[in-house]
Amino acid sequence: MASETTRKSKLTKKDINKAFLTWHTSSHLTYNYQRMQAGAMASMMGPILAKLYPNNKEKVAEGLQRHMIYFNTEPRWGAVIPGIAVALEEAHAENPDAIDANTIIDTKTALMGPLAGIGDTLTQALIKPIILSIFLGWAMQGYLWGALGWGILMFAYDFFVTRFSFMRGYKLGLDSIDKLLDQSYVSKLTTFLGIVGMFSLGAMVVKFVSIAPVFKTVLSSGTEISLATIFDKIFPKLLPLAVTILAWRLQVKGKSTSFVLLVLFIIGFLGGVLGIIG
Amino acid sequence: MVQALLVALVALFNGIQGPFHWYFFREPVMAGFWVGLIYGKPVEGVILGATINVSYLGWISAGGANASDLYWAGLLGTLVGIQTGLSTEAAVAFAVPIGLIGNYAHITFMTVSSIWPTRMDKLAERGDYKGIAKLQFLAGPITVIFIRALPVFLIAYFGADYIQLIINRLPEWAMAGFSAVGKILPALGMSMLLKVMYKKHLIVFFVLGFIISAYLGISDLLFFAIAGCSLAYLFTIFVANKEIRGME
Repeated sequence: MASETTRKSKLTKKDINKAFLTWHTSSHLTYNYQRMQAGAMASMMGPILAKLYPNNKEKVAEGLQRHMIYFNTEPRWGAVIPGIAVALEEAHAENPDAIDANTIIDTKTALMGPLAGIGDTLTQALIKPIILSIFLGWAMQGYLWGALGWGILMFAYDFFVTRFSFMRGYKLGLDSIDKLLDQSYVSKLTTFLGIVGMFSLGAMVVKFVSIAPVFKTVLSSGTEISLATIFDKIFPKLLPLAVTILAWRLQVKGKSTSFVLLVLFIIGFLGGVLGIIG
Repeated sequence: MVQALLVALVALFNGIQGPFHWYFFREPVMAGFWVGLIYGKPVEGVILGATINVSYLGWISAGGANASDLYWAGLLGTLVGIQTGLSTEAAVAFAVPIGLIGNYAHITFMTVSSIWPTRMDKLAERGDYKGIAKLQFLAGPITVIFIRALPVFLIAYFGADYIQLIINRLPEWAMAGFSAVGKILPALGMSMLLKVMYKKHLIVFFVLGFIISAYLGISDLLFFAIAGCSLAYLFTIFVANKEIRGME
């Protein structure tokens, strides 16, 4: 009853869906320094190999060993690689001379780096912070849906991007990679999201970094002068901007985030104790 | 006891590596929600979690090398905040250092998990693909029980009284210091974002976003996302793609 894919194939749509779901749920379950995501790759490929080589345990074992090699990429956009790998395994099973086993390994290894770069930029540096910051604004006001909305939206993004990339990888095989790596497309997308991100980031500094001068002087006439009010008239939110830029420059100069954290901690603590900022 | 067990359960889900767990348990705002729910204060939990989360807005995990641990910063930060009734800012000041310690839990997880591929190699030689999948789906979560859920249980069960005791003894000037730290630390999150998003030819948009918010007092980030999309649309249409690349 299982529907056939467009190619004449031993693999049904159900097999491919199962492979996608295995990748999506398990890509990082045993994430480790030795092989990173190899366990997920092999877990996903197991049932596929069993279907491609029925009653041939040796071939299955060979295939599993192929996919136990080091593998690490961004799991969402990079899902195009496991998709391609399934297509290549299928082609290899049909005609071992046309696609040899080394091609499969080489393809995976060659693609994982570039796709990790693109995927991490899009997901972790652009899309996630933009979505998260909007929902955090609501959550900080005490709206529960600010928390739950974030989870639902981000999970949906993760699921659909992974599914899209995986299926595209499987359907188009090696052709799909040209489209995904098309430089003008990628640079347009990152520029677009980069503008949205940088523009929002400017506002986030104002919204989230709430440190302000609280230093007060009492004049001889008895009136209190708040430094904060004067500061705010000349250059509103100068202090949040200044500490953000300081923290950023330290990181650009190669200081670790732990060091930057320590610097901010000391500035904040001393400033708070002395009653200058708060 | 029940509450401590439930917090440990949240710590387990918080530490399992998978998309469902990342978005519904790991992110501090969600960890805060669950911990708050357990102690009957979901709204306070979300506010605490979200405030802690800001310091981790630029948190990036690339190849398993993390700057700090947002897992425990959110979870334990909210726990401390809720159990002691600390101000939100002071809770943030406690949460971020907890995150630094928690990062060792992540390194431990990735080190311990390095056992599994060697075991999987043996299964692969035998063609036992079901065994590999079983290991893949069970070994990770079981590792997390020992590395993350157990310590969190101990802290939630035994630690609360001690933390309360320490916080009660803190003099007022120290609380003022911690409160200021809580207000300054979000700059860490902002600076990490600036580092990953920074492109020289896009800095004008950062300035624009800042002055619109600082001078006009608009703080709704949905407004900035929508306005940012419009600006980005205009920019990508009117500035030729070649020029963008030339400037990079």
